[in-house]
Amino acid sequence: MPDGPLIVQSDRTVLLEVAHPDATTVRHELAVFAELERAPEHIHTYRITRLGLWNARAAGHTADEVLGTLERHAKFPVPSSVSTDIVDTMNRFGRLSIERDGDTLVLRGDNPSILTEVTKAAKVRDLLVDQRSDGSYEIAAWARGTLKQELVNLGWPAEDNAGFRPGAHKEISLVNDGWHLRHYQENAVDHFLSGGSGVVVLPCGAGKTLVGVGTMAKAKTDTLILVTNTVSARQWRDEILKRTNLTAADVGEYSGSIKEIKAVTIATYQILTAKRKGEFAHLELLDALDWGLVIYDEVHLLPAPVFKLTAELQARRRLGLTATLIREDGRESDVFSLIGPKRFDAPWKEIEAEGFISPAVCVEIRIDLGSDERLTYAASTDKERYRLAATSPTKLAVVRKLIDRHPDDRILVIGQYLDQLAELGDALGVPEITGATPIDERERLFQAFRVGEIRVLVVSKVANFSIDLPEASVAIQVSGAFGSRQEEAQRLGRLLRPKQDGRSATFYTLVARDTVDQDYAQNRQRFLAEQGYTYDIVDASSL
Amino acid sequence: MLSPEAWYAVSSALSLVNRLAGHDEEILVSALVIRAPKTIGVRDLFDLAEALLAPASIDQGLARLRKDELTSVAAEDCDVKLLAACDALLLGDADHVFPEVLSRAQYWIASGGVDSCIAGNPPHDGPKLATSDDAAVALHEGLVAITLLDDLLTAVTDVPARVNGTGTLTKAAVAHLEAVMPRSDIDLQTFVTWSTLTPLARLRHGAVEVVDDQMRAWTTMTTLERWLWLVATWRDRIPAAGRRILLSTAWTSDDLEATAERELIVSHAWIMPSLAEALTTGRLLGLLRGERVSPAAIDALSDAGSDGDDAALRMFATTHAPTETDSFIVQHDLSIIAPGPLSADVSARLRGMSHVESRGMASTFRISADSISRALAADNDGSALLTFLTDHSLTPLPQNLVYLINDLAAKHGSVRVSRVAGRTVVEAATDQLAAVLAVDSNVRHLQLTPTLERTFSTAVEPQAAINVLVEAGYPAIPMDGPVALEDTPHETPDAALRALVRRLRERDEDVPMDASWLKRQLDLAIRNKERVTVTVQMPDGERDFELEVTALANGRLRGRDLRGAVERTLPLAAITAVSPAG
Repeated sequence: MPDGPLIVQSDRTVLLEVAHPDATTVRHELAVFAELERAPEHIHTYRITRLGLWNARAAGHTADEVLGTLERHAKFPVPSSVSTDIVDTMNRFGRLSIERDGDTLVLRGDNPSILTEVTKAAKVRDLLVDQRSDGSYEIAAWARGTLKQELVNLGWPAEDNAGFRPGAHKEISLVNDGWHLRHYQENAVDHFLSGGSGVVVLPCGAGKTLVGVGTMAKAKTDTLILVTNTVSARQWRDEILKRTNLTAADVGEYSGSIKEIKAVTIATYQILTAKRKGEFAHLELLDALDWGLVIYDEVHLLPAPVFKLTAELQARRRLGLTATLIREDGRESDVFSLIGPKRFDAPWKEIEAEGFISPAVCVEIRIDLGSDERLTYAASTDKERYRLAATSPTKLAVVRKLIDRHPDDRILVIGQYLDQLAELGDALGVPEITGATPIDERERLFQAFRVGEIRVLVVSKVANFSIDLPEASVAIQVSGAFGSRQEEAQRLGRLLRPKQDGRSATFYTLVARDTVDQDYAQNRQRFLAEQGYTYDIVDASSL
Repeated sequence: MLSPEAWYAVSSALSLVNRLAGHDEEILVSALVIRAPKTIGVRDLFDLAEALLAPASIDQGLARLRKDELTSVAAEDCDVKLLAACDALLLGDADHVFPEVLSRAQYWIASGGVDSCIAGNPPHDGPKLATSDDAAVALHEGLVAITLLDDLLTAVTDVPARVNGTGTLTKAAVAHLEAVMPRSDIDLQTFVTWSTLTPLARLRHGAVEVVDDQMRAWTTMTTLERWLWLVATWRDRIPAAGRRILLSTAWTSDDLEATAERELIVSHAWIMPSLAEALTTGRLLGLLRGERVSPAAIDALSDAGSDGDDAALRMFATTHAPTETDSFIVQHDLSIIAPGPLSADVSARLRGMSHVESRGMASTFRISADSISRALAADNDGSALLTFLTDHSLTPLPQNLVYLINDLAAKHGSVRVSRVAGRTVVEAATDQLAAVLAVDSNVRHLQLTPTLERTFSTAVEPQAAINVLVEAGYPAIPMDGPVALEDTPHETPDAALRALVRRLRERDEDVPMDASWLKRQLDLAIRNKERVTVTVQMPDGERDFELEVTALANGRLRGRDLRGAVERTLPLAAITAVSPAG
């Protein structure tokens, strides 16, 4: 048995010793079929999941290759239960396939008993029109995505060979005037296009937008881009105009305020899910042009109705972009079946080591509630407690101290509760941006922050995602959405754009000691800690 | 007249009664489990002896004999070893088998099964052996299984696992075990059942609980010693006939059943559960890989292994087991990873201060505030925890971990709970803490009543009060430190039979054996309407009466005197002997 860097556990986790000389090679081989679950400083944990194995199978890898990787690099023998499971699971992929026959989609199987098994399920039967004489089934025209979802749930994922509509041709090319895609962005684009549809996972600040732009330049087709909010939509637009040959006439915004449909249209999730008289009011957008590519920004936030709509977009290439494929609602398998398998990912610390994102120091600052606050907190109901702890007035003085400690940095003070943010804004004498701030005003303030006219901004969760503030180097988180790990990651992500002077970022979290604030903070920090970020804990009194 | 058969029965019964009264209790109960006598209506040892001489019960005993042994019994050609085996099965004594047993053995021989079986025996190929590499892999998996068993036993030590009438874990027990056990693909029920097949755990009062004295010994062993010990336990649970079968054929259900059917003429059904258990447990122990048998299993089952000489087994294990480590890596996300098999003592210590997340050749633990509080409550102090971690960690301890331990240790015990004069007393270390306790909505149902300074009383039991306080986030501990576990008496699943034996023995202790025997003979004669000669002690000496006895009641025997044609009533206390009439 070689003294390899891997230990394969019977619970399907795989441990990788980072310091092993073969670790880098092995990591790339593992990424094909195993999900990176944690990447702290010494030992990375991967998990072999059904979805991961089916991803690998979808990409053309065999069970023998997967087992070969494990056996070649494992320190101890691979548990027999794991080997058996890998073979069984991978053999389930592709036994069923979705094929195109003229204008009709059909479900075929290489084994009649599997077809019989799945078609017995009521949820599958409802999606099929008729059985043909060759044993295959005609699929309802609208049901391609839903059928794939149901087949994944039944454990028989179908290989989708029905192809994509090429979409209307649009000449898009990158304008490489002094820049070029980084190697991992190139890889991400290539992996995506070779797979057809799927998800690219990259850290915040690592340039996911450019992966989208790079994909558009290779796909050369009308493109619909779905984003989380209008500010993000405008950042996409700016980036597209800056990096490609497209002009403002080619790029439209479809949001609450503007309804433009152009060859490249950027729409918000919110507008797509807006209802009028109980019906989705903007569905025509989906068929407005012959989209050859649909890009889902922050795919981990995809709202449930968009999943439903996406089920009907299966004939178009779909690219999901995210930093954290953690869905707090656990719908990762829907992302797999409706958007597509994960096509590319890279650990945060690896990108950081290459200098493409800024190094960051995370500090948790423990504050003590005052005596009266503590009594009020104790006498409160569970429901009231988090708000009381998270919005403790004691935090204000600490925020001041921290701002004073960073006279040369641009600082974001991030929080969840609007009244707390308003008090902070007033007390610090700095502007605040919340959902109520008009879009133009938000853009103005962000721009002033970028150019250094404003050094400190108080922001609500509207700044959690997709806001490009490359010069922000310090964040002070005063409160958050309970224990949300992806929110914590996104907030740190605001700081990770590499700084021109090379300085590292500092992410402070203020936590009220011995309260639920502390419990939630621990949960929030888990994702980043597992990505290798260290949280030092400091008492506020020692600042 | 008592017929010869009836006197056989009386004679055999008397001999059996002597065995039942004098045999070692463990051996006796083991034999009774095998013989499965009907115990309904059994009032004394004679009743039990009669039940054991019933054909169905004798067949249960004969079923334990291989075909060659059965042939010897039927031919009255038993050697000393076979007689000893029959004695242990209560089929005879040290000198002979009981006539009823002989008769049943001859019946089975006469039924023709043996000759045809012997003639039709295919040659035994023996077990299909695993390669050395496969056996090593199986051993590795067996060692992992032992670590998981250890985790399970620890979980059951804290909270016994409730099972329903069929021995299946209740939903609540499954939920508890899933919460505290490492993530794994193991079937909890299989492991729980396995635990009860070892001396380490038992089923009692509807729950699986650990056997404290066995656990104490277990905790001192290395993983390898545990494996050797459990393999010995595994072997000892397999009946001798089962071991022979396992050594003679492939370890598949079909092959084992076919071999058992050939070997055990009277019935092989009894041994099939043992063989199935041997396979299941053997697989867990890593004695099987697929259907291939590890040489370790052969070593264990062989005569040398059975005689307690485990040198070959030990050699195999030490050659193939991976080297244990007592080091680990501590990371900033508060995970601790031992990148190889962890020594049992370090593993137990880590488990005491963290949650086990994953078990395999490596072990993964996760530290949290809860787990450190638990460790502190188990009589550790913060510096001891830090020293242990520092001594064994291959990497410097992360700052956030050190902070966490120091922070919790500083607060530990700042709420103390005790029992004073029938009330539970809760004492806070500071005025501020007392003030918070007094208003805390999460401890409202304790109905804390202020008594002295920083002190409250409650009607809730101390442990329940501690649970509520800890749940609410207070570092509460009992005033007098952790409560020691109480030993519980050892009890086996054969409790019913054991209790019966003890009850019958106690009852017969008060009655002289001769008197019991006399009464038993007379009962038998009455039931069979036999004629007997009764010897009675008279003032002028002994005198015989030839009677057809009709009743025995109130210490008097009544019967018709065959010579005098009169009804006689004789005091039982005066009767000195009874024998067949004429």
